[in-house]
Amino acid sequence: MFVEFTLNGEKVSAEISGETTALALLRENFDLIGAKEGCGVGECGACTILVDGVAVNGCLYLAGKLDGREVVTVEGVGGEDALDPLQKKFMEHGAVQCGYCTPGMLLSAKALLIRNPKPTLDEVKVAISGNLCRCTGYTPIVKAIMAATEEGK
Amino acid sequence: MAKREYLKPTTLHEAVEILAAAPGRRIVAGGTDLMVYIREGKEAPAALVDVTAIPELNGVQKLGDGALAVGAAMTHSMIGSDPDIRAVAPVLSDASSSVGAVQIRNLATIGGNVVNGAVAADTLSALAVLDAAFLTFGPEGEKRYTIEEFFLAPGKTAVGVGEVLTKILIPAQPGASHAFIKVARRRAAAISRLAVSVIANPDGGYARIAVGAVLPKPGRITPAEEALKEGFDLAAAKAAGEAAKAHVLSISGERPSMVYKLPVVSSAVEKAVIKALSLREVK
Ligand SMILES: Cc1cc2nc3c(=O)[nH]c(=O)nc-3n(C[C@H](O)[C@H](O)[C@H](O)COP(=O)(O)OP(=O)(O)OC[C@H]3O[C@@H](n4cnc5c(N)ncnc54)[C@H](O)[C@@H]3O)c2cc1C
Ligand code: FES
Ligand code: FES
Repeated sequence: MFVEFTLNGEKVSAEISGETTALALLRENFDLIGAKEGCGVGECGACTILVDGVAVNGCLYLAGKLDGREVVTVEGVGGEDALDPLQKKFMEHGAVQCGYCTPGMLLSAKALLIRNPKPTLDEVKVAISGNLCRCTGYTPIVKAIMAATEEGK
Repeated sequence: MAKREYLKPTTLHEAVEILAAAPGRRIVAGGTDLMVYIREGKEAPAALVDVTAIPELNGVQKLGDGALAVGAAMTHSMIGSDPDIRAVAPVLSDASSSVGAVQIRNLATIGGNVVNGAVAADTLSALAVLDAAFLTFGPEGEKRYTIEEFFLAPGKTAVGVGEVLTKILIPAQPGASHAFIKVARRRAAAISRLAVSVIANPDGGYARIAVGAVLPKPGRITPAEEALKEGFDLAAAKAAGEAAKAHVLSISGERPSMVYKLPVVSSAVEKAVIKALSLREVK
């Protein structure tokens, strides 16, 4: 099957087979290695990507569904020269240790802030409840996200 | 892995034709159950037929009598935030909102949840108390199943090969108040160890109570409902919890896991009943 979609703002296309996941396609065809495979079965969130502005697990999301959609990976958020407020706050709060969970955490937070620019603490916790972090104990991550929302005020 | 085809019909007739055209073709909606089975080697469909672009499977329709027809390809996120579903069937809104984490809810569908038919599937107890019915379309045309006809055994429903679940029909519940409670190890990823759905309508003199994850099939617990009808008060809530526990024990037997589960069944049912009663609009 042939799919055409928007990837971090650019029109792209790819030939895929039925079992290809969005995660495999992004990593292997487009060299976007920000999204990672942790568990491969929807439980850790390391593979989180945004499709039409909502967070999904790239490891379960079939590439055939991408046709006509808009995909954002962590590579499409901010960047070294123009860090997203979330990225800045993650750095300031020490919310990144090994970094394996970070792309997914950033995108789950981003998806929340797109919909709800001033979330409560509970809403932040719910938004990242599908993202596991084995290093930080979550507190710095939650603080960083809350700080990024205050930035926007 | 062998090259597997990915097909995405845009009409129901096309879907049914595609499914019948070659053996081993399999419906996929969100893929959150099926992809895990494929990865584990438990399933190896020859082709995946994505039904999420079919108009009949999308959106919520209000039917004349206040009932709703919920499209089978609606995601749990859509169901959780739909105002019409919230108005008619808050027990379903809450059940869908309890599925997985955000990323799962954005992808997983209610149709996949019911057709997959896992005993722990979170929407099943809610659909049981709502007295939901199921509409399918297949080679023999449209069919309608009651919930008893639909669920045959754990993981097994009446939906035949090549048959597409199109809609879930939810009757109006005038004057009733609803509650859903889920007990799970980790909210985001864990499957339910127990789910309880309650609809109570003291003025109408009826109550419906169902539990998920501890019984082989979703179904209402009549003895608990009878106990609650005795008074719709705290004592009746407690009695309903005890009756639910006795019922689960009589069906599932004294298995080791029941040592933990039975007390949880009685207290979760009691709690859910109290929650439903306390949500009643005070006149
Ligand atoms: C990490 C994780 C956490 C989860 N947590 C929960 C949870 O908390 N509670 C819970 O209940 N479930 C949970 N699940 C299971 C799963 O997400 C749900 O059962 C989900 O609703 C399945 O929907 P789907 O659209 O992804 O199904 P799919 O995987 O696409 O399909 C499942 C089955 O249904 C069939 N099917 C799908 N749609 C149709 C249709 N319209 N007509 C006919 N057949 C159809 C498919 O052929 C397949 O056999 C979890 C799964 C994961 C991976
Ligand atoms: S790799 Fe997708 S959720 Fe773990
Ligand atoms: S920083 Fe290591 S997993 Fe989160």
